[in-house]
Amino acid sequence: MTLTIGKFTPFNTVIHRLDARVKLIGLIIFLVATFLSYGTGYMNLVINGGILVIVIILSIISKTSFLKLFKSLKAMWMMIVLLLILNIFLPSSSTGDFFFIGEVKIYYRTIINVSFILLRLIIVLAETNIFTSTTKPMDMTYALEWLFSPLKVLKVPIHKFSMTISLALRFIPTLAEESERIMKAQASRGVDYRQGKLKDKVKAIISLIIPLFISSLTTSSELTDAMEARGYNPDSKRSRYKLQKWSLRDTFGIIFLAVLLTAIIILAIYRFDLFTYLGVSLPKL
Amino acid sequence: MSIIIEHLYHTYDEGLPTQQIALQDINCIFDDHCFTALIGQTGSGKSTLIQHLNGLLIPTSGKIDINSYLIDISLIYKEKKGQQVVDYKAMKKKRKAKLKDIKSLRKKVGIVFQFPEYQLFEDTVIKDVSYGPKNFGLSETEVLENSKKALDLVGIDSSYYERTPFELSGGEKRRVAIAGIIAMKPDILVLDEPTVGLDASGEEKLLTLIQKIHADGTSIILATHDMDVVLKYCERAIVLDRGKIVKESSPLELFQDREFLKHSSLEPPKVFSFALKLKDAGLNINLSNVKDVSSLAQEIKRARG
Ligand SMILES: Nc1ncnc2c1ncn2[C@@H]1O[C@H](COP(=O)(O)OP(=O)(O)OP(=O)(O)O)[C@@H](O)[C@H]1O
Ligand SMILES: [Mg+2]
Repeated sequence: MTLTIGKFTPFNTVIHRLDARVKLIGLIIFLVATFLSYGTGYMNLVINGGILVIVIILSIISKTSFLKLFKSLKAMWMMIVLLLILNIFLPSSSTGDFFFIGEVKIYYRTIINVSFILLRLIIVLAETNIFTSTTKPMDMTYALEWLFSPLKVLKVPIHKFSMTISLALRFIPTLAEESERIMKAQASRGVDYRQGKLKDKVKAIISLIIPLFISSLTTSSELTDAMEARGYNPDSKRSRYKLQKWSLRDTFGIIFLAVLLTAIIILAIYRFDLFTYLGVSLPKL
Repeated sequence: MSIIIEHLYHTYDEGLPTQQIALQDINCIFDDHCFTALIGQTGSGKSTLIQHLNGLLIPTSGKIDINSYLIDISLIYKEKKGQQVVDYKAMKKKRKAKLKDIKSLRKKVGIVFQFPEYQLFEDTVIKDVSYGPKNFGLSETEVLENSKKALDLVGIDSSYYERTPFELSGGEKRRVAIAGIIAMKPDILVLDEPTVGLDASGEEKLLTLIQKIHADGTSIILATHDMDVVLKYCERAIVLDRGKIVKESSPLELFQDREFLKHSSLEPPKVFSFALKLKDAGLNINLSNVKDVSSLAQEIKRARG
C-alpha cells in the first residue's frame, strides 16, 4: 500500500530517540530554510543543495528510505505536468532566452523554475518523511501541544485540539488494518482493485468505503463510551502518563538547529553572494 | 479439487524491526472433498495460512498448487564467489509479480473471513449476495438463481431480499455474508472461525449448513478453536503451533494421543474425555462412534447391552 511512506518505523536510531519537540522545531526550521529566498538563483541552488545533502545524511542515520520518496513522486507526475504547463503560460517567467517545441515558445527560465519547484518539493517531502517515520504519533501530539501551549493564554482549548489530533493519529494504523481486511474480503468476492473499467473501479472503491465508514462510526461511538465510562472530562487539567526526559543529545540537537537557523537568517537577510565573493561571474539566472 | 502445499514460509514485515515469521515449512495436502479443521492457539498462523489458499497472500518462499493453479516461490539460487547462495532479490521480484488470471482461482476457493458481516455494502440483501457471482462473470439469471439458492440455504427467506443488510441482526448479517460466498459456488469453501460471536442455536445451524454444503460436494476447510466442532464434524485435523504444523491426523487419533495433548495447549472435548474414562473403566465403547452427547449416550446404551 502507498501508506508505507511517512509511517512510523520502530528502529532505534539517534534520530528516533531525539525528543519529539526538538524534531518538530527542527522540521519547522528546515521547512523555513527550504522556502526562504537567498537573493540570486545560484545562491538558492547552493543552499537548497546543502539542505538536500543534510537531509540525505539524516535519512541515512534514521534509516528512512530516501529512495522510496521517488516512488511516491511517480504518483504525482500529473501534478508535475500541470506545473510545467502552468509555468509555460505564466508571464512571470517569460524572459530571457527561449526555444520552440512546435508552436509553443518555451523559455529556459521556465524549465529552471519548474526544476527548482521540484527540488524543493522533494526536499520538503524528505524532511517531513524523516519526522513522521521517526516520531511516534503520541509523541508527535505532545510536541504539537507543547508548541501551541502559549495560545492557552488566549483561551484556545489546546488540549481538546491535541486530543483530537492524537486520536486521529492513533486510529490511522487501525483504519489501515481495517481497510486491508475489507479489501481482502472483497478481493475474495472477485473485486479487482488494480484494474478494470472505470465503472468497476468505482464500484470496487464503494465496496471498500462503505464498510470502512460503518466500522469507523462503530469504533468512534465505542471509543466515546469507553472514554466516558472512565470519567474522561475534556475540561479538566491533564497529567502525563509518560514524561519525556531531556538528554544531552537533545541539547546538542537544539544547538545544531540554532546554528543552522542563525546561518540561514543571516544568509537570507544580507543576501550574501558566494559567487561575487569568489569573483566568479555567471550568466544571469 | 485438491490443494498441495510444499515448504511454505511466510514472514510479515520482512526486513523491518517488526518482522514476524508467521508460517514455517508448512507441508500439507487438502484432498478433494475433504472436511478439514485447522486448529491452533491465537497467533498460530491459521488466518495467514488460509489467505494463501486464494492468493491473497503470496508465500515468502514455497509452493502452493491449487488444482493445478500454481503459485511457486521456490528458492532461487545464484552463483556468488563460486558458491551457491539464495537470490532473495529474484524471489522478491517473483513475489511481487502479478498473478495470472487470479479471478479463476478466487472463484474456485471461496473464503469466509472472521466477522464476514464487515464485507456487506450494497443497499439490499439480494444485491449484496449477487455481488460475488456477478464479479465472476456469471449471467444475470444464473446470478439471481445462485443468490436465491444460497440465501435459502442459510435460512434467509424472500421477505428479506429487499431489506438493507445494515438493519439486520448480527446473526442474520453473518448468514447473508456467508451466502455471498456460497453463491459464488466455490469448489473449496474456507471458513475462518465462522461461529465466533453466534449463540448456541445459531452455531449449530451454521455448522449443519456447512455439513450440508460438504455433502453436496464442496471441500471444507474450517479454522476453529472449538474442539467439540472438530470432533463432531471434521474428518481431518491439522494442528498449528507458532507457525508450524505439529500434528495432522483424524480427530479420533488426535484426541486419543494423550502424550501430544499434554504438551500442547489443546483440551479434548469433554464428551470425548468422558468416553475415554468410561473405556478405561472397562466399558466396551467404540470411540469412533462418539461425536457428541447423544451419540455417546447411544454408545453407552449399546455397550451395556
Ligand atoms: N498483517 C499482519 N502484519 C504483521 N503481522 C501479522 C499480520 N497478520 C498476522 N500477523 C502475525 O502473524 C502471526 C499469525 O497470525 P494469524 O492471524 O495467522 O493467527 P491466527 O492463528 O489466525 O490467530 P487467531 O486465532 O487469533 O485468529 C501472529 O503472530 C500475528 O501477530
Ligand atoms: Mg485468525
